[in-house]
Amino acid sequence: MAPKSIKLLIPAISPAATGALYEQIVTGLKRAVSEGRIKSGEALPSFRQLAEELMVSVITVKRAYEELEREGIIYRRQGLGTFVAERGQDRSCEAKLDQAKALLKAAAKEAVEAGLKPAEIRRMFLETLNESL
Amino acid sequence: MNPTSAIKFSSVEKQRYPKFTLGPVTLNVPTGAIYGLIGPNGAGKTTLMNLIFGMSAVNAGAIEVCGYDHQLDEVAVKQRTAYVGPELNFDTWGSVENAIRFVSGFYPSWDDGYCSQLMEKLKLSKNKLIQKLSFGSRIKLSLILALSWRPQVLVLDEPTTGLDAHGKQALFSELLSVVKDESRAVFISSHQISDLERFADHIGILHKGRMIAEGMIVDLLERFIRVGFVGVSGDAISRLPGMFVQQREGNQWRVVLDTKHCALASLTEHGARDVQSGPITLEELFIVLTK
Amino acid sequence: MCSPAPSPLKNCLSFLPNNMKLLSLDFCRRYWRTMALAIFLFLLSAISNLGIIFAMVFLFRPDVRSGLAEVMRIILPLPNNVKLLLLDFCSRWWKALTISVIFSALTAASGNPGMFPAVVILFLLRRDARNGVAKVMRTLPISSSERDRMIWFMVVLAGTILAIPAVMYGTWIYSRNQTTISIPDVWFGLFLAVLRSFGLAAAFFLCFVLGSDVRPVQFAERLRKILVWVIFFVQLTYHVSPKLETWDVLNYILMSLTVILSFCWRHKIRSDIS
Repeated sequence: MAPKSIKLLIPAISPAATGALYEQIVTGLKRAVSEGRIKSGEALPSFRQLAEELMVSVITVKRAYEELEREGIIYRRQGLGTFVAERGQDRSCEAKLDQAKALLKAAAKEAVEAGLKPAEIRRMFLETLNESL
Repeated sequence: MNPTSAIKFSSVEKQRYPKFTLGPVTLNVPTGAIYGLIGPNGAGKTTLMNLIFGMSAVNAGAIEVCGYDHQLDEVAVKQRTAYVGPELNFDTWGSVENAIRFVSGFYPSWDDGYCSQLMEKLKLSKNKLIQKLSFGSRIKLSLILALSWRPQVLVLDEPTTGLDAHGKQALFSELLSVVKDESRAVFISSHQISDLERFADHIGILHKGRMIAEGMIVDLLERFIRVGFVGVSGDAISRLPGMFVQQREGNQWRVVLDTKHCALASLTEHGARDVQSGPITLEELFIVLTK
Repeated sequence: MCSPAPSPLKNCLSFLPNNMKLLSLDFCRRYWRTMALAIFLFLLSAISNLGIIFAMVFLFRPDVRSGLAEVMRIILPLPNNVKLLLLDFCSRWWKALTISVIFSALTAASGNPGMFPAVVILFLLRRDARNGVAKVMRTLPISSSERDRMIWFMVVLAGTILAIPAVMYGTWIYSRNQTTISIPDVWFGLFLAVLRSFGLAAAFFLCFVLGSDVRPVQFAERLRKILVWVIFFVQLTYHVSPKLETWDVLNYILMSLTVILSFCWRHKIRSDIS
């Protein structure tokens, strides 16, 4: 069992936030791992335990764990529990980078459809970057 | 007994006067799960739950709880199953303390410490007269009497009516800790679909005495999708199987699609354009299916 | 040591007022056992009537209930669930039961003091059922047969048992007032009074059970209903008389049969809950 409560390491899971509940858990855990708040090799709570902590159904947590396992960020050992993978942090970063790239692609597509030229798109991006940092 | 099914209804039928027939209903509550039963008023949810405890007689079919038949092994079933419902009336026992003392005598696994913990959590005091309690507090009393002896199976008939936000939070937190043990299960019926969407693993929709949908919530919400499109004139599209029309204005359509019976592609085959699909919430699905 | 005469009561009641001292001394010497019994019964009934009232008022109060439960657990050889149900019923309705016991003492001389508590208990049970206690009982791990047994015990037997001191008292009063008696001794009179009580309570129980209009009435049910009402009225023709005529003997046999019948048909009370 994780010594500290996972609940506090990831943003609150709520129907009001964006994305399905299980996606919120996946994103939250990925972030926590990539930022090093949960170290590689560290044990994660069982899905029933996590379901109780996060106040969501067991199925939701199961699905989140399955997704994370598929992406190689965590692994499960029968009888021992669930742990963060060795390259978990890197994988997590990789996954996040992939996602950022995909979002930028989508933004570029929208901008092109709106009729902006490449130079204008570049300027808009730099402005947005300065605003958000 | 070590079954994987906590409650199993097999082709259960119940006739209540010439008008209303419940069933045949086949339903399975697996162990380690929270199963939510939803349905419009009068669909038969309370009747179904009453059948388990012998409050009404089954006309056909069988009910098994943890492998025990509900009629032949009546006592074995009730030693493992707890019931909470709005019609339970403890008035005649006077105070909360008396009711607790009476009920606790029948269950050897009664946990006094857990009982006091629950009373604190749900903010119910021992000395209150049950007659003077509000509806929500009576439900809380029933819940405490049901949870304190750690039953294998919990059958809850609309326990969220009358509970405020704190109470609901406390209730679901306790229910989740109940299913932490994989051999236990919760069978709950509720009108608050948003609650069940968050906490329940399985869902069954009961409408006019029949189960019209059943399964894991995630599967159901993947199977049914919300689609908006611009269609051709004519009603050919609305007659496709698995198509539920929500709104239609001229050529603008808003529908819910059952992807098991009707693929998205078949819409475009029938001339739909600008097809946009998105996920559906359980509440919307419920409204569409029980129209 | 003289052996008691065949009808000691006859003798004890027919001594002459003259030479009282001599005769009474002689009488006491010869019939001391019977007299001791009579005095003992009188004291017992007086004390126990009061005792029962005190017991009800103090022992069934919730704060001392756990103590009584311990005592009951040791004394009563009933299965645990039935004990719990009986204890619970008595502790909830102790006020009504106390009043009915007091009244039973007042009607002791009628020869049938157990009937009043039986009727009261019946109506208390009915009130419980109306108030939803039946549904609560359904959720508890009690088998239907245990529930039926408890109801049968409360209606048919408990009323008379609670009134036994009054029955004894009544029998004693009755036997004192009779000039001619052919009943061998007081105990037999007591036995008959108890049997009468049981019989009438059982008849009441059956009337109630078969009189429920919840179920659709079939022909066989109708026959049973009529039979029970007939039994009930026949039993009311009992005689608290010194001579047991054939009719009385038949009546008492009928009463015993009614008690057995009520036990056999106790499951019919389940029809109250569809």
